[in-house]
Amino acid sequence: MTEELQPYRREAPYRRGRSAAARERDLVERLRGLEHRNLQLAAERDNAWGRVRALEDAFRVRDKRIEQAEFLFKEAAHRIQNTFAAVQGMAERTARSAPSTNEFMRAFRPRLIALARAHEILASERWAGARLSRLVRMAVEPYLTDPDQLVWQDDDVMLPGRSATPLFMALHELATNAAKYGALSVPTGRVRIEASVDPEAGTVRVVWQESGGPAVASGVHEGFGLTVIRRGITHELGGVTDIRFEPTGVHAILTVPLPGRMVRTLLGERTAGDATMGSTGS
Amino acid sequence: MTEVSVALRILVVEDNFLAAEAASLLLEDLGHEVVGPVPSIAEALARVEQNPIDLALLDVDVRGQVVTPVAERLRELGCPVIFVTAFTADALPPCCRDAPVLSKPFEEWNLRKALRSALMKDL
Repeated sequence: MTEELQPYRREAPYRRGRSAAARERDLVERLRGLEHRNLQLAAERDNAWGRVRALEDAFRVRDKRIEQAEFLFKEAAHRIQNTFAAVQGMAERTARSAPSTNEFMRAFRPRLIALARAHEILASERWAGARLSRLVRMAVEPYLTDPDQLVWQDDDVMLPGRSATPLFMALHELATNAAKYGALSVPTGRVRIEASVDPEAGTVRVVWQESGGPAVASGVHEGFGLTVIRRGITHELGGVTDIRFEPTGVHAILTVPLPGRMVRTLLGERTAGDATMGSTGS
Repeated sequence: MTEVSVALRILVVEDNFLAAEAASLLLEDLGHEVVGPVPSIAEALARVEQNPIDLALLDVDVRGQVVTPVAERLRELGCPVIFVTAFTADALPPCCRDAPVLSKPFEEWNLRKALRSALMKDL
């Protein structure tokens, strides 16, 4: 770390009338270790000012990166403050229906942890988005007694950053509800989740279907949990929810808008048979 | 300064639903009536035309857009506003730089103070 910083400390300020060779040396020094490809390019040029131009291009690339980093920093600052407010909202709402502090913590703690998991997924993608399959796995797997209990099928959807948290919280609420009262409360129960993109509507549709669990009574167990699912999807994402407590188990359809570019990426990939998106997964 | 003791109809514009819950519950605790909360500029503008409101709590950044159109319309209507921001370096709508600003998250005391300040300016 210290070694990497050394060249910056030692660099000489530019002076008017210095030779191209001297300036080139400065620039090479400053870029060393940061821009291998551009340094190579510069080395291939056979005149000094040509090399200086290549190096200055390299600096422009670096400046652009700094700009992007600043954007990410602002984005992260917003997210952090909004997350504090969201945690407050969760606490305020949970506290108002909790009969005791123990009950409050039992209801609040898993939601706080779910929020943290959603952020972990987003942070690993540098806030740019989240793979739906990863949200599903992270939300549901902790509640499975047997991996076969989850049947999962999707179009390998990459979600925009802002959709990840509300969708993860919704999946988390469905999973905890299933573990407490539904299909995941018995070893024979199954949860089938299917996700598909509708390119015409520009939406992704997530269908959650439980089977093999005990008969479910209509929404009696979940007050705020149901609100988290519904309001997260509708209020925050402008999506649509359809949640039914059927005798065979919970049947929920969450429809979330997908920005045009994400639909195009997905379709482009499918037609080109290109699997590059898979490599950005984790 | 006098305490705001009348029940007000307050529009809440906030796209994060849990943050909106927090704001709404605090306002209700103070005895006010919450209009919304609404998550977008379009819905906020529609609400403003539908029902008379006494005051608005506006998140500065709503779904990636600055809440300026809503703030400007409310100024035209003579309705006081309080801005809520997740990042204090954010630019506020130029029409209403004198409006009180709350940083997220906020509590009852901050809210009371902002309400007083918004209404005093209005009078």
